[in-house]
Amino acid sequence: MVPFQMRPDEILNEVKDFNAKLAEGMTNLMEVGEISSGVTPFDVVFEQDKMKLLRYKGAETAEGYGESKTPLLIVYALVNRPYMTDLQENRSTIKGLLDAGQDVYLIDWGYPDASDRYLTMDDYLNGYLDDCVDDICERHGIDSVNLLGICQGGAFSLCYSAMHPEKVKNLVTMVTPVDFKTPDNMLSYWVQNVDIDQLVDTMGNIPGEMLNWTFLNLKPYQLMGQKYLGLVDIMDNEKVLKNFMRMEKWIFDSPDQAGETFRQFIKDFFQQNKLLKGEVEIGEYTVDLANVTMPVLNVYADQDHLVPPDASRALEGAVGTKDYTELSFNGGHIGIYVSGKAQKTVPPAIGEWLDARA
Amino acid sequence: MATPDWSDDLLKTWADAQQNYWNAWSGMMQAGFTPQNMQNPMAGATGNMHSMPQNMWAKGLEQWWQAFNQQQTPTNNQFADVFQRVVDMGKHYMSMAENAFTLTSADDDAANSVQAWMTMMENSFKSWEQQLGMNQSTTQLFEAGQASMQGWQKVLDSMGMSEFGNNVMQQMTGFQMPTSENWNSQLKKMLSSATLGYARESQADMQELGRLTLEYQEAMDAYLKAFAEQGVKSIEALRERVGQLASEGQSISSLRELYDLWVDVNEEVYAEFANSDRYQVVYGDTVNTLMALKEAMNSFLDTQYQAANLPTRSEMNAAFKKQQATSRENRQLKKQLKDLARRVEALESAQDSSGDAGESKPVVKKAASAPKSKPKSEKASGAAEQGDDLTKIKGLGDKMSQKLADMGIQSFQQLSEIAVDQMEAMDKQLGAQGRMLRDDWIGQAKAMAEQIAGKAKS
Repeated sequence: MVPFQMRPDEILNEVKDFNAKLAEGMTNLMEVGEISSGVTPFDVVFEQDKMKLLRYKGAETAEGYGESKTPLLIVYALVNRPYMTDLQENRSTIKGLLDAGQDVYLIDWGYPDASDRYLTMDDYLNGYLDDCVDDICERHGIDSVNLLGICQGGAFSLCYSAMHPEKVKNLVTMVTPVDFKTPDNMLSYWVQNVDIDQLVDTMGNIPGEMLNWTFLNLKPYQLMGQKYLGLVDIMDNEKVLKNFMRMEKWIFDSPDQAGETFRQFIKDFFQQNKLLKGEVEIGEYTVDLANVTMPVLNVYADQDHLVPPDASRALEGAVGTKDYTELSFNGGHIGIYVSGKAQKTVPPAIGEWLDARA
Repeated sequence: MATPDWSDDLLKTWADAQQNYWNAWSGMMQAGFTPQNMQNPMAGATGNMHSMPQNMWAKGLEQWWQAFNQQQTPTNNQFADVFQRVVDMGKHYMSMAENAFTLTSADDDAANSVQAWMTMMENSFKSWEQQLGMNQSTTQLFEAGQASMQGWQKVLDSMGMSEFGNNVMQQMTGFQMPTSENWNSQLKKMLSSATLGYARESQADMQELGRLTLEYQEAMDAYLKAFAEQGVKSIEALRERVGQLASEGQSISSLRELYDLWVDVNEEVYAEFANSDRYQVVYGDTVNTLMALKEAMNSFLDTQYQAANLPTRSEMNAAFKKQQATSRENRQLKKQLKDLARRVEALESAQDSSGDAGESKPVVKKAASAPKSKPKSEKASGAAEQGDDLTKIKGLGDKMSQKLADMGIQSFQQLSEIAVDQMEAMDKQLGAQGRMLRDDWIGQAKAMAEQIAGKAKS
């Protein structure tokens, strides 16, 4: 009848156990050692300002690079750091793609400082990204590369592909927002009443702390409370603890955002949904997704609380290509890169799709 | 890494203390003491307390944490934040445990004690809400609410706001950021004082800063008040859930289950709130008023820097802007140079091959290395007879080639003959967004046409 069956002595015992686990766990935590940022080896093949172009090694070939005829360039978001895709040996999208035979490059945008506040989307896309594409093309004697964009990097890749369709052979977008005004998009809902001009004019770069706070507030009770209670339970297992700490490091490793790029991204994409309307202006270009005519593979996560599936799926109606494929993953925004299930299914599927269009 | 001795000692001491603590409690429970009249066994050194101090369990954890924290070394410093987050969560958990314990001990009937627990939580939220209603800023928050506010404090730290508030402003002006409970009346008093006398201008500045601070505090309070209301709603939702569990014959038998249920309920209530118009407003207002205040602080500081002959923020910004414009220009120049070099190379090899009978070198690397597979556009692919493959021109794709064909332009020769003054209009007509000029289609077409002519001769 009464759903509570807690006796005082049981509560005491539970607390005692909790405290004991916490005390022991804290010691384990101190011995967990240095947490790496990414596990797969790479060469830095090209650098410009703070941007680095990485080429990953670890494939079973002579040089360690993948053997695909067309290299694959991963464009990560400016928010957080790209080693999300390479967190640990058995949970690495990068490793999965190498195993699938891809020659994998990735752009590390670095950490912007105050002097970067005037970096625009034009600088990022028609500057850094375009230079990376050119560098890879020259290196391989080819005209176009395969692009794989992640989250905000996916939106960037879409813009780039619309501006320079001749340089993109195949495009893969992962958990990429296209329609920023679906009803379930909490982030977008929040920023509608924020005076972005005042924010950027005042702050210059947007502190990573601020973004992080915003993301954690999507599910505050789980992300700022319950998660750490769960941690106490696993603290006696060094391996699991280390994995937790890797993720923890990643979550709180948030670079500041270059002010002008943040301004355009939030105003044009989040507040005015211009990407879908074909009204985004970058440098001399107006971005029209109808120009995205190369084959497109759109990968999204069913339970994504940051980029809702509908926000991604809007791509189908917007691109000009006739070769459009969707791949849904049963998991969340981060799980799609780090879960064991994702590891087994997502990178091989991407590799297969690319190989069929080599 | 071996466990340092101190940490073993520390943990052992703490564990022993804990054990004694619980033993003493359990013993007294069995002897029929109720928590209300029980003496806290841990309080021996600090005095004779006849009733259990509030939040003792959470405080115990905090004390341990302080001791632990003093032993932090640079090598484990990388986890300082995680330690802190775990301990913060632990303290909330302890509060919940203590409340549950106190109440279950006070009443044998579990149903009563649970009701009492929920009523207590509800009252806390209500009194919090009430305090905010009376313009008394308070730090009393619950669980994630508190974690979230601590996060916000970090945001302020990262902006140098707290630094400014606590030190700079106070030193320079004697004005203190309103963190105390009656900030509202303090501020209003200050704002109403006349701006007279010697430093009238800076007094006016300070009043403006004060006004903006007030606005920010008000927005922050509206935000917190909305949160407090959600707290009350969460209790209602929890009551509903508990009722539902009862009717399904299920039970909660551990603290942990209670905690998880509480998180679930909160997250549900919060999700609805966070997607409401109200949240949009309180969130936006908080950020906007904070930025207005920060902006005023910036310009206030700039004035001080200028007076001290130091570079100001606006001067730095001007320099950064100039530097970015220069590197952007550099980037464009580099691209143009590269392009020109390629075209010169193409021209030279075209000349070479026209002078050099019998030898036909590949002129553009692109054409030789990887002939593009063309889509099934009839005019473009079937143009071999009367036209050229215009997509060999850099920046000119299938779509443009088709549009040009529709205009009757199908060969390099035709394209190369377009007059310069027509180009702009044509670019617009094609929707090429300036690529026609930027990528110099005409020049490229000329080179291609010459190359073909050269080949034909040889």
